[in-house]
Amino acid sequence: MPSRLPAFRPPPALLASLLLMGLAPAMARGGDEHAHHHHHAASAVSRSEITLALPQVKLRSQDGAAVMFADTLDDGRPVLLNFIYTSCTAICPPMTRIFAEVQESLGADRPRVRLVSVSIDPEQDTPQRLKDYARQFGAAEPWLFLTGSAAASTTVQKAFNSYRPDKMGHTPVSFLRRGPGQPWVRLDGLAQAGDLLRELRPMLPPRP
Amino acid sequence: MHRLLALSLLLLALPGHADEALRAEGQRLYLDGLRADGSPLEGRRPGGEVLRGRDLACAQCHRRSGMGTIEGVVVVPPVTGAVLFAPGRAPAGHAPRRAAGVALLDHGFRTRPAYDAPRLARALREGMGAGDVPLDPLMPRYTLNERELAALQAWLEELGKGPVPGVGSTALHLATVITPDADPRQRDAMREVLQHCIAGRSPPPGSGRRTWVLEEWTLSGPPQGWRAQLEARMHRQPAFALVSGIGREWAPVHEFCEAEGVPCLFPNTDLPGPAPRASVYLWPGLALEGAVLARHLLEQAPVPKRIIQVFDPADAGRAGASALRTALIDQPVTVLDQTFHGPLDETAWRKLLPAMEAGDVLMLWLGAADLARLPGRLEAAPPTARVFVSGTLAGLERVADARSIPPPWRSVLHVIYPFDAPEARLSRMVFNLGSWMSAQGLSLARDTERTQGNTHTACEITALALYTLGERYSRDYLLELVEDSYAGATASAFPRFTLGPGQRFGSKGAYLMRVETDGRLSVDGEWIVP
Ligand code: HEC
Repeated sequence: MPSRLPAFRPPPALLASLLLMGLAPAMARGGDEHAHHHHHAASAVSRSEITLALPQVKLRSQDGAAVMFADTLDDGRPVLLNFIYTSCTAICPPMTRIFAEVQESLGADRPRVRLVSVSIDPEQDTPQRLKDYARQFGAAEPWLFLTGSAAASTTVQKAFNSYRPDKMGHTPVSFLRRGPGQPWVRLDGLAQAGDLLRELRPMLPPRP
Repeated sequence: MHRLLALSLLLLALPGHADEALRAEGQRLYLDGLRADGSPLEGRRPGGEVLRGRDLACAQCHRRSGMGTIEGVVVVPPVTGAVLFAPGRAPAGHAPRRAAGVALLDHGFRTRPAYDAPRLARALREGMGAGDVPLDPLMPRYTLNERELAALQAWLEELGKGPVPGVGSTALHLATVITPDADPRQRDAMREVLQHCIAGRSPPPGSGRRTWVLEEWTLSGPPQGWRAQLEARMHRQPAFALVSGIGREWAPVHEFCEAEGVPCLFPNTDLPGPAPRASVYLWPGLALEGAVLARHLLEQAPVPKRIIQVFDPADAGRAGASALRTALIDQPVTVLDQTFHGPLDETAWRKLLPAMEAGDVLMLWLGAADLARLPGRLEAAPPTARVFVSGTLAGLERVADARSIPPPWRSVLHVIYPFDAPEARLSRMVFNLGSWMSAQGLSLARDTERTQGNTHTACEITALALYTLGERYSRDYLLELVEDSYAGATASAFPRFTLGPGQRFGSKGAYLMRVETDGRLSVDGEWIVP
């Protein structure tokens, strides 16, 4: 079922005045006001480990194929996952670029890692739109872009504790997991390709 | 002739023209990320690889208006000339706060000195802000030659420059368009809600802010003449934006809005124009119904071999028929168009419906009166045939009761229904709109409730966006704020109403409904987004 009403969200100007001050530790250097660091909200990455139950919802891939979410992620491969939407302005293109860089750097190991980008604007992001978006960033097998009903997308976001009633409140976060039943690594912030590869490479089983 | 030539040569040599060419180059870099020779702009993030492509265009982050955006915790600052080439300023009433052990620091762009050409070059090439603070790594470090830098600077200086049409010294002028083919009851319902809502939301006189003045642009005559009438109205008293409005045919209004670049926000029409940029619509109109049916048929095995669609090419149903045909163009399905003019009687009906075979699909783009005259006996359509009607055109539960459709048809009928289910919708309308309406001395009526709710939505979203806009008048910025103000859509006729950057339709799907024996429509299956 579609959800009822859009949740109230402060208009950007109000948000701006709330957010416009970066929080930075004061440095105890004799009154030197200028020594403070300016905090870049998106670039600081924090790492945590979490366990979660993957919901078995039906989604659709960029090729229009029906995809059972939990089964697909539990195919045995390490998984790298994020949440995006194609009309997103500042933050999703860099996130998708970074996934593309990871894909390239994996080289021969590329088929051994499942990349997944789940749309948080599923009604707008039809499979065709996701396909165009994937092409724009040179995404290749086995990188899946997933969409579906608004309810299914919300279920997935909630399972990853990444749900915002409003997509413009979306913050950059990446998830990695070695294999089924294992904990997830959660990286909040705009993790660079190097950050992701450092987590991902040790998750790959040794080549036979 | 010679004098003309000489004059144009002279004009070409004037500095104004050189400026214009430079600005045009800057505009292309800014909006499309393309250089003068058509090659893509290049840049990198600190420590990252070389990037190129559409997402490097400045407008991707700073937006068309140059006013920037906020996404999650990321703040993309404004880069319009007036802001960039002046010292950074904290917003009015904002004082940096501090607490023991912690200092809250303003963003660099709030405390920096003014940019000049060398500082801008350093920011764009090296990512060093004017206040000698490195810019957030999200902001790419660009490879730009001197000319490109100058071009970008020329464009940034142009951004946000006035005067803006419709912004008077004490009034902000808005208008709403009413076409002569609008249904009178729906038209009056729209006018009442809009007038009360705009008056109620406008800053009051004496508040120091511009009051909102709403004009009604009532068009007359056939659609061919509307564009000229709109241009004349805009010339007489320019409007900053058009809000709500109502009409059956809408193409001339759409074309006017796009050509003029005036935001046309959520008109009540079932025929939105193609590829909107300045127009934002409630929903994609009847074309959506055609696309929804195509999606449903393709997902439901067996896919039919033949679809027969009945429509009047002079009426709105043509848009749905054309969308259905387009969506099935690559499919092994025959789409047979059965067209007619004027009201249908039983004889006309019999001529119109070909002998139907099992598995055929019949799509009726018809109004309630024509549906009521369907041949009483079902011989034309075997019981296995699937019959669909357009919920918008049929107006069931609005102007007619589904029981007016002859019984044998009723039981095989599916209604393509792009609105929230009637019960859910009504209770939401009453809850979110009822008390406001009564306070205005207005009342919700069963046959106009969708128009009332949608008009209220148009007004509320526009009002939210205008409040955020403040004094920073720019039509592009207004559109960007509208994309972000859909929280105002609490009483729309649709179950979900969302927008986003560049999105131009609030609602994006439809239900299929079946007709219960008591004539009620009830949801059959999931909300379908084609
Ligand atoms: C991927 C998003 C993105 C793109 C693309 C982008 N910017 Fe930025 N830009 C930012 C962000 C985020 C900041 C804020 C940096 C900070 O506050 O530290 C910024 C800051 C700036 C600033 C400094 C503003 C100030 O007041 O100090 C200028 C100037 C600027 N950008 C111009 C441009 C131009 C010109 C382009 C295109 C050639 C461009 N930007 C492309 C995201 C972007």
